[in-house]
Amino acid sequence: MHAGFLFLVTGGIIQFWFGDKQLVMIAEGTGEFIERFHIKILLHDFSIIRNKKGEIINYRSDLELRDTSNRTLICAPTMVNAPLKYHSLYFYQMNYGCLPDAVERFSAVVVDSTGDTLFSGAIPFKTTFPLGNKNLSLQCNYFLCDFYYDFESRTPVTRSREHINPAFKVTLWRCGSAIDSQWVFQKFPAMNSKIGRYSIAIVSYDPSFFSGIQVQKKPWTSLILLGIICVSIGLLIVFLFPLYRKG
Amino acid sequence: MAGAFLFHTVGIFLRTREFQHLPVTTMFEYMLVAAWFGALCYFVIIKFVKNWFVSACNVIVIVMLMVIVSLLPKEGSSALMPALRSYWLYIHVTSAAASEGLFGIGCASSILYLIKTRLCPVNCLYAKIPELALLDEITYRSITVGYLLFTLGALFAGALWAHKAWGSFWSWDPKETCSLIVWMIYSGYLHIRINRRSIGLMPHFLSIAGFMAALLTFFSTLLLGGMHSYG
Repeated sequence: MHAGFLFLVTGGIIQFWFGDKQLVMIAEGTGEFIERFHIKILLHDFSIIRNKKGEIINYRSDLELRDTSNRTLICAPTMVNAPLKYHSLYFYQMNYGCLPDAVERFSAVVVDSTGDTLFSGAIPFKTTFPLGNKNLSLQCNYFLCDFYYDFESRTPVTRSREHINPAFKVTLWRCGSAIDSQWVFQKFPAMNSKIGRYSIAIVSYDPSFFSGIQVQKKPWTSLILLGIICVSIGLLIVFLFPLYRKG
Repeated sequence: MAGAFLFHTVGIFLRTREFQHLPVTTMFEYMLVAAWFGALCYFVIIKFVKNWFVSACNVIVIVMLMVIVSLLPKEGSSALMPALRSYWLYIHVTSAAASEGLFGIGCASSILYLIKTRLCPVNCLYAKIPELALLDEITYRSITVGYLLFTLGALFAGALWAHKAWGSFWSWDPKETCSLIVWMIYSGYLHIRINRRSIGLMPHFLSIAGFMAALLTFFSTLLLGGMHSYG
């Protein structure tokens, strides 16, 4: 039992001195190179897993690890309570959030000057999407989650990372040439929504996520586990079979 | 007492059914389960010890735990956060609650032990309190089982779960640090009790100090916050 404690303390000291960790925020579909671990992490997908009642039961990041020569080492998910392990590296799902400057898709309604609805549906971000059969297409390449016009730099920026005033810069195309571009505000549909003789409203959108992955180097974890096993067995022997001690 | 225990058990069962998980996720639920284990120990004690005075003292400990329970917020939720959706929750929290219930019993018999050593043999209370050897045995046995549960369930299972959920076996969180203090106090008790075979007062002071530290551990998340502040 006391040898087990020695293993535990030794393993703890080794991890304290030689262990290392770094938190990285990775947007969906992108990657991050972590220099101190010589490894690149790609986040293919982030998803929130819910049960039938709609309660969140887990967060899942589908990761791919690559070495410095861009060779795939492992492709596996990491979830809360189920970290991805690669040799002495552990990848933990720590947090997540919505990206401030990108969305997955948005739902738009396009109405012409007569009041007829030309289009109503979902459009993927950064994709030129045809609207019905009038040779019109719509595209959104820019998104700001909390739109604010910076008068100093004379550019629109996002004031925070919160989705307080989501704005979409949409371009309406006819026969392959742009009619005009306009910032359309989801929460203020009456404002700034006309392009030519068409009115555009953003009804809803699916945000793009980033995932916070904590990478930890934990050498000699097996020593700590061995210590736990030794102490547990020792305790059981001492307390469940006390007669051996009395003898 | 049997009727109260039955109602207590039914209450835990109904709460489990209502929220679809064992009631071990908030401080209220944790203390409720700890008091239930304390009551279970009461029945074990009356079966083997058969001393009404010891039983009455154990009832006082259980009532004290139930008073704490009644003062805590009672709201519950079926929606557990993802970190708590693990089988480790039941192993870790249930064994911690069981061990604290047992430490409470050990503390009660240690208090009786100390009272008896201070009383004059002609005092009427002296005859009602069981023999010192019996009280010492109750303290020792409850702490022995409690220590085993506390080490394996609260500390080791907690460390293994923390390794999976938080990324480290040990984070020096207020609750973890207080638990380590509790564990060291009871380790000291058992080393004195087993190796030196001492029947002096020191082990009983340690037994009382251990339970006080266990109560401090319980309230450490309220006072100091930390990673164990779930509810």
